[in-house]
Amino acid sequence: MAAEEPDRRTAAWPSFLRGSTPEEVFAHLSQGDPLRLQERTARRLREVWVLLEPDRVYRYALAVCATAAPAEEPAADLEAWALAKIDRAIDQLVRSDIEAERTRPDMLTDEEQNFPLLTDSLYVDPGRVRAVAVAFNRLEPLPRRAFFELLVEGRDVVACIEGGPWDMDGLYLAIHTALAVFNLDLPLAPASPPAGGNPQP
Amino acid sequence: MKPFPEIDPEIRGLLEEIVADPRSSIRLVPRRPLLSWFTSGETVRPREISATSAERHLLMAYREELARLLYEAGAIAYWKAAECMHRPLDSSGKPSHPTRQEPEWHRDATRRLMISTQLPESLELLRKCLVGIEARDALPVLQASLGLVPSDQTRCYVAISIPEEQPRSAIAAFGRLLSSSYPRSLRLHVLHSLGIRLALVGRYHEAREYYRQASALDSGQVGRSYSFNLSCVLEDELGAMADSAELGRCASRDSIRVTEAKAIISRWLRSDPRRKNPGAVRLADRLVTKVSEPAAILCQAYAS
Repeated sequence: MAAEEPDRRTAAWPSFLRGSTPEEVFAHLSQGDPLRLQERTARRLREVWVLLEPDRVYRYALAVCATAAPAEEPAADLEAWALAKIDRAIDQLVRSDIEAERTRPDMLTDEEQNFPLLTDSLYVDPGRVRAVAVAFNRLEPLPRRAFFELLVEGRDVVACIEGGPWDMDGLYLAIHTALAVFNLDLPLAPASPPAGGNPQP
Repeated sequence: MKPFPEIDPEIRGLLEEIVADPRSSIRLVPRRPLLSWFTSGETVRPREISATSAERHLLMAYREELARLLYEAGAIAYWKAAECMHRPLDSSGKPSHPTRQEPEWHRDATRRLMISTQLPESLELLRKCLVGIEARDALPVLQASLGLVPSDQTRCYVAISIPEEQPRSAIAAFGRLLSSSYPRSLRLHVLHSLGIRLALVGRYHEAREYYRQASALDSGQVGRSYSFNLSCVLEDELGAMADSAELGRCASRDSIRVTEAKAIISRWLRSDPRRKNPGAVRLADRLVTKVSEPAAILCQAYAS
């Protein structure tokens, strides 16, 4: 009988991930953020060079975890499990933004417009932030990495070249490509990068 | 603490070119890296507090206890310098002074640390607090507590302890808490604190709105006292009358909260002459005979 079977989920999930419904788990997870999703999502965005509003991803990751926990077997490695859920949240939000940009380009929800990194630090118009983020996240990894290393992390150019898969021209091209999504096409100099100037990751 | 780097001048130069172009979506060149948008400020970990693996093991074993001690020390440190925050009430309904709990905290911390005799001396923050809790230690001590045990209550105190000269960080932290915290008592605290921070940077309309929202979650005496004050600053007579009416409904003229609010408002007005603008003074003077008794007491802050 089902009632006599040991409940493996409640036996092994930590208390904050136990619950029979996503709503129940969500309530546990939201209070105090015991899974440290807020910190982990922010860090993960920097690791994968994806331009999304970190708190928005955090809230989405909370929902992904709350939905997954009651439906899945307890995870042996909770950190890896949480990271996988964060990656899923990031992936779904990137796709959702692309779809929104395709189907309703002129209509942004309040949540989509709330992107203080772009609106407060670069003064991008709130109505443009989703388009900018979508264009940025469609880029190849190298330009995204250049943007994150130079503008987000604040590394200097020399350190960035030393630590990355590019030479000076390659980095120059990458950051130009990244900044072009902000609606700008500056002429590139040199016109065509020299051999080795556009390294692959 | 390591100083925050600036964006490489070469990259800033490139951004300046872009900003100058009318086709650009970017309208501002940031000086500092954008990293702060990608950190939660909760990266303190045992390995950052303590040096050796043995110490880290002990830290893990006493994690909850240490987090509580750090939290309490951080709260005491915060109240040593808090000027614009109304104090918590004790069991008899009078404002209490959390700083008076320091001797008790010291005894408790000493006793507990003696039980776990092997606790590392390199728990510098806690050791410093045992020597004497200082106001400037509030933020790092609370961050250390949060690093050990995540809790919205500690997050709230961390946000409250962010220095006055970093209003954007504090407002963002409270905004995050507001969208994610559930306990009613915490929400009330967040709304009040957000009101204080916004008022400190001159965003009076928003601050007043948060105070009014807060007043719906408790007796309303604190929130309405400050929203009445901001209505005066904004020279909004109708708003002031509405706040006064609400305050009259929830507080008496000898309310401890109103007396406390008057003192805080007086300090707040004195700390920046621009706040005590002539229009606000005239309005407060005119209102003193028209408003409810507790509101009239608040008007006196403008006369002093």
